[in-house]
Amino acid sequence: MTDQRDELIELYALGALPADEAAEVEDYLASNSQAQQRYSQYRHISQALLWSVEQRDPPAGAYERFRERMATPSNVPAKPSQQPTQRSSWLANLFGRRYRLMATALTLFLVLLGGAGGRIWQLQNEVGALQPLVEQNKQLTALLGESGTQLVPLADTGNGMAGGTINIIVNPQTGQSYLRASHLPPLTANQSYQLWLIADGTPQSMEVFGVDTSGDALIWIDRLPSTGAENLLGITVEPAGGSQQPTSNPVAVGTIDA
Amino acid sequence: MANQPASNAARAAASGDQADLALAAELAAGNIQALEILYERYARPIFSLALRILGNEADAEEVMQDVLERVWRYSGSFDAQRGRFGSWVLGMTHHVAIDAVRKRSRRPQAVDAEASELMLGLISDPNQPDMTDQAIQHEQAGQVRDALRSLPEAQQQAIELAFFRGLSHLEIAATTGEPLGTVKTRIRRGMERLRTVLSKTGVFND
Repeated sequence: MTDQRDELIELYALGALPADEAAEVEDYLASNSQAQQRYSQYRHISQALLWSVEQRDPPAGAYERFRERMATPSNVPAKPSQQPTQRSSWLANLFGRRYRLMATALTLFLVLLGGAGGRIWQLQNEVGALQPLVEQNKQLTALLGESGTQLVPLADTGNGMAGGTINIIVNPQTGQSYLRASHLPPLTANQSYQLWLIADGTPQSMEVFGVDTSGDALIWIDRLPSTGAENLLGITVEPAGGSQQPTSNPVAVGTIDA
Repeated sequence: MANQPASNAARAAASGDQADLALAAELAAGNIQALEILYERYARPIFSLALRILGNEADAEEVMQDVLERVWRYSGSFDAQRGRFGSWVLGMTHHVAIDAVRKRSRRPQAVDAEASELMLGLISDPNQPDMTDQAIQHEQAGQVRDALRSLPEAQQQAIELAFFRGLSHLEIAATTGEPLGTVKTRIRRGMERLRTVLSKTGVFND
């Protein structure tokens, strides 16, 4: 029976494995001479590919910026220490700005509410406007505190995300998810983005969504379709309103950890 | 005839190797003047590879600056017995750029600077002939590109998604809409075919 790690040797040689899987392959290589030989051959291909790209000059001013960076000792960063992933850091890093803005807005609102007395009526509309954000914030905070919640940043597949980013916080147990997209390319009026759960190769629609003029979207999803042994999340561009099945290749994909 | 480019490349590599060894020694000794030579020699290939992986100039320059600084900081750990300096530098570039892609848009990675440093030792193999860095850049890069283009399109796409995007088998399957087993087969066959083609062209020998 073939060791499953044997199937990962090509990706290991191509530098496409995350650290945990790379470590498994290294253990395997250390104990299998045939695998070592194959890896050695593939490694040469990988090295050849390093040099195969079309050459481009760095942007104007890059050398000056490099000199400036290296000339200032304080600019040379110390070795970064590995920080354990914490839910609070997710919030700070991913949703921090929005979270802080909402908190600031709420604080200001409460101060105004307390101090303005008879002007409450003037603020009623703002209360209404803030309420959905408050509720969403409560949901997000609760989701982040739940066991099994994980962050799934989606990888740009090169099919048209154009530098945008998509992060999804998902809890496979509760089925609740939170999608944050930034700087996605705008769509035409007859197109939508569609989020899919691909469970054991079968795509199931999770959400159809659009983006604002900045290419951003922040979406709460209450339900996760049935998961399988291997679960991916993918985003495709579909006709407005979404499709029953994906009709285009995904612009981004990510893996939900088992 | 097929071996001629390799011979030229080998000669160029030999002189390039000596220059690179001197450069590595100067960097390890902390000679700040060596940074200029490092930039002249490697900024372009580092930037080009980072740009291919990251897709935009700003991110590629950030990776280039980061890699050049790492080369300066870790040049003392470069071991010429394990491979050529250029392969060490571009291997580091690939690692940093793929890591940047993942941090930007993918599942969390445990890879950090220390892990990166450790992985540098995996890039070179003292028991095998190495690629011929600068010579490859000028003389054989085109052959490597041609070899990649000579693959069936599906094999080429699968290998490029793995190497230049850092995608897993599953993610490539989702991207291309092909079954997982098909993706694995395509990558393996593509790698075997690349090995055969590159060996025939003299880019490297078995």
